[in-house]
Amino acid sequence: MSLVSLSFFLFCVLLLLCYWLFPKKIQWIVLLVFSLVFYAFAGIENSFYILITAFSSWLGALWLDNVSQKSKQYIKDNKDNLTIEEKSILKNKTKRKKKLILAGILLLNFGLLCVFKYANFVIGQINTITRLFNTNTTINSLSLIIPLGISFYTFQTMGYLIDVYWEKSEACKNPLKLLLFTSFFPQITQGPISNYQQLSSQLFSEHKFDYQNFAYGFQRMVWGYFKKIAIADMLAPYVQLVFQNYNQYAGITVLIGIFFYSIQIYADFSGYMDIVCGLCRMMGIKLTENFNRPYFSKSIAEYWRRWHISLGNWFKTYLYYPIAVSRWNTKLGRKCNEIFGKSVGKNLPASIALIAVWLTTGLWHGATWGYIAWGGLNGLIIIFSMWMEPVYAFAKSKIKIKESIWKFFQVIRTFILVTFIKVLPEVGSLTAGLGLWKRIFTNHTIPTSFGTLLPFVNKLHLMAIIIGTILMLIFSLIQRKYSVGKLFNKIPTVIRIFILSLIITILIIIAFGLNNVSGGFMYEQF
Amino acid sequence: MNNFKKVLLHSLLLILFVVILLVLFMVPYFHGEYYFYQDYRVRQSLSGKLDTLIIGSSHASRSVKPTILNEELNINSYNISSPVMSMYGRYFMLEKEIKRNPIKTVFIEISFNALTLDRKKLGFEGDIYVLGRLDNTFERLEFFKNAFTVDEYKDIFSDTIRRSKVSLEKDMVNMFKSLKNGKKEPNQSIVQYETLGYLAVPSNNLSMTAEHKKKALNSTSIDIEIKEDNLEYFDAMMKLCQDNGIRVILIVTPVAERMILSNRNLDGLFSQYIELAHKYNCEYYDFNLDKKASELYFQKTSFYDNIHMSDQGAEIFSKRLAEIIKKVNDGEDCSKEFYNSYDEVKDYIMD
Repeated sequence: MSLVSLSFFLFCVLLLLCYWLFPKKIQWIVLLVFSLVFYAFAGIENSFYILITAFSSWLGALWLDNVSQKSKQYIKDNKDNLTIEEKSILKNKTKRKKKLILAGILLLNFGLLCVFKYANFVIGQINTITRLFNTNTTINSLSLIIPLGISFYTFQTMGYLIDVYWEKSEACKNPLKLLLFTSFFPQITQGPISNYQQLSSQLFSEHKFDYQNFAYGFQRMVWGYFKKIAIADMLAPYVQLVFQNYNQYAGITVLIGIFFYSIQIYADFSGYMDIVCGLCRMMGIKLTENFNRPYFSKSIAEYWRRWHISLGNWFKTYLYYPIAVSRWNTKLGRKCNEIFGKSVGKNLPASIALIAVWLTTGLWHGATWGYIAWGGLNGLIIIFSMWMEPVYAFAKSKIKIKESIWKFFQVIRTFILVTFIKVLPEVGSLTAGLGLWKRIFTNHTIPTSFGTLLPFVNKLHLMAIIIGTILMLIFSLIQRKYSVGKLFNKIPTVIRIFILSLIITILIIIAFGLNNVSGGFMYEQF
Repeated sequence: MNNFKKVLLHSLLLILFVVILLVLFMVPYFHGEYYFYQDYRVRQSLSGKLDTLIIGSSHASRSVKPTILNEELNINSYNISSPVMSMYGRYFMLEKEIKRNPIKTVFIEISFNALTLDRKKLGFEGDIYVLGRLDNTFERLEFFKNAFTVDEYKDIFSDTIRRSKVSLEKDMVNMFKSLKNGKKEPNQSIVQYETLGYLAVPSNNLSMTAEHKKKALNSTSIDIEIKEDNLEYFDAMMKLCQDNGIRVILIVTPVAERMILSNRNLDGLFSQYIELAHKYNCEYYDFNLDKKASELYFQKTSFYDNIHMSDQGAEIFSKRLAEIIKKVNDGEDCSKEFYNSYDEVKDYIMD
């Protein structure tokens, strides 16, 4: 069910009515039912896989918890009879057992994810290699339909399982509650990837109706739709046209195309987040924020702390830290410290962890060389910046540039870099992505008319895009110091409702006017 | 509970505002949507495939069958004509289709009042049809802004409400009919989807007796003054085609005998059109001057009214048009197949 559809609107109305009119005790059951219905809309056959993930995680977490509790209880009961050595042996045995359970469930779930997302990529690579050796044996690709949101729910649920393994979180006793945590519909297609402790406390508690929350949530939803329909979807045809035929356009047109893409993907993804966060807020649930004005970042590393925050946090918690503080990596760091000095000793283990994280992030986004290169490039730039930090600091102190100008330069530089890197996997293939870069730098044709500079965009259309983007920029600037929601609420109610009506009317006109070409959200594909 | 009441009240207010705003904003959109010339989805699906366009007013939309041209000339054509189409409307539609299709040939129909009609006197009907054929709100707003005056907006607004009422009544009647008959009433617009923009109309017997012909001969005259506005957009269309390397063929579609006989100044009008064809160096064929006109078109079943061909007439005319183009494409000189003036045609008809 597309979030930009009449059926979703009716779905939301029905959900809100049930959620607020049914007894508070069963609010979470209402959410579960609606989440399952939402999921079933994407194909009932896919529900099987989400059920496997939910129930294997539920079982696994209970098992892990049980093993831990039993071991602790045994040690507690035999505190006086056991020697320190025996206690240590018992703890290690428990740890090994827990590791095995965790590995088994992670293997099952990440295995499923890999089969759906990467099997055809691997088959393609094997076929390429066999073709190089002139053998006629080719493996047929599998006709698999990727279950809706598999990347998101697998990561979220596995995060929960690891938390239970680390004893950061308690195991959920009720399988249906864990099913709700896994399948909670607002975040199933594009996240945010929530932490169990943070989300479960809200999902399963009783919520009282609050007008302020409801109104704020609704306003945020409208703003999200504005970003999606009035900006992202308006830019989509132009971006698509330029990306598909970049060889036919002037370098300047392609350059504008990639900047349009940057705006489009932000409006699309953050628009989605506003819609789902707004809807959850209407039900008294605060979802993890996924964006913090990312295009105002001063470095790529900062950008990734402000863009798709929940994914970054997941990788940081469950991949970066385990690698960075692993025994072999810290040992390597210590050795490098002794041989090459403090800087290498500190940066090398971090660099290894970073490159692992970024290659995985690339793969998570898609099974193509373009995404792997994109992830690798992001990682390399972050590592390079980390190593070069002392040089930058030295250069800055020598140039004696004003702090504000320096910051402005950093923001612009980061935005340009991010924009260029972003398009690499989006043109179809890595070769095409590189071809697009080449076109920008090697084709210096000056378009003779507006039509050739911005094909397929009429002036009115462009004006609407510019107004929408400026509005988005102004809101981002305001957000730096103030809450836009709070400021908006200061406006008299009738005027506020009129403004909202005006935005909704514009959105209906655009959506209807574009003949419902509004496709799905861009991040759904991941 | 107060909270709920507040939400309910505010929701109602929001819905009320949205409805009012939608009615105000969507007038240009819905107005166009009412008519059955709603073929933009078909044209969208053919986008990038069309190589030939036929553009004109009702004369062209009811007499040129793209399906026949496609079959005979092995082309991919579409008839984007619509009734009372203004020159600005034609230019707008042509530019739009040229942008998204690899167009090689354009047939521009310039029958009778194509360049002589006065948009101010004629009203907005033609532009309303064009409005309805555009793909999205932005295009419609752009066209609306340029094609209509503020005063016309008021008329359109009241017209929309009237039409909506008529449309609703029609829908209700159709719904009850289909419930009663157990089958869905055919949608008129579907016909046009299959015919690539051509609009079929039934035939009426318009044959004239010798006495009628005598009575009608040179009994009236038509306005032959080409209007500046029309010429401006005609010129823009020509330039647009020239810039895109498109072959332009100007055609005058057949009209009934009465129309030819009764107007005394037709040569005066069409000599101006011939001059325009020379000026822009494009082909020009007036099928009223076709030596086979009497044998082909002036039949009992060829016309719907004096100026519009019937489905049968359109079938014959489209085949003839394809035949002439085929001959020209093969390098033949077709000038011998046409009379030189309307006076010659009149003499022939009177004989």
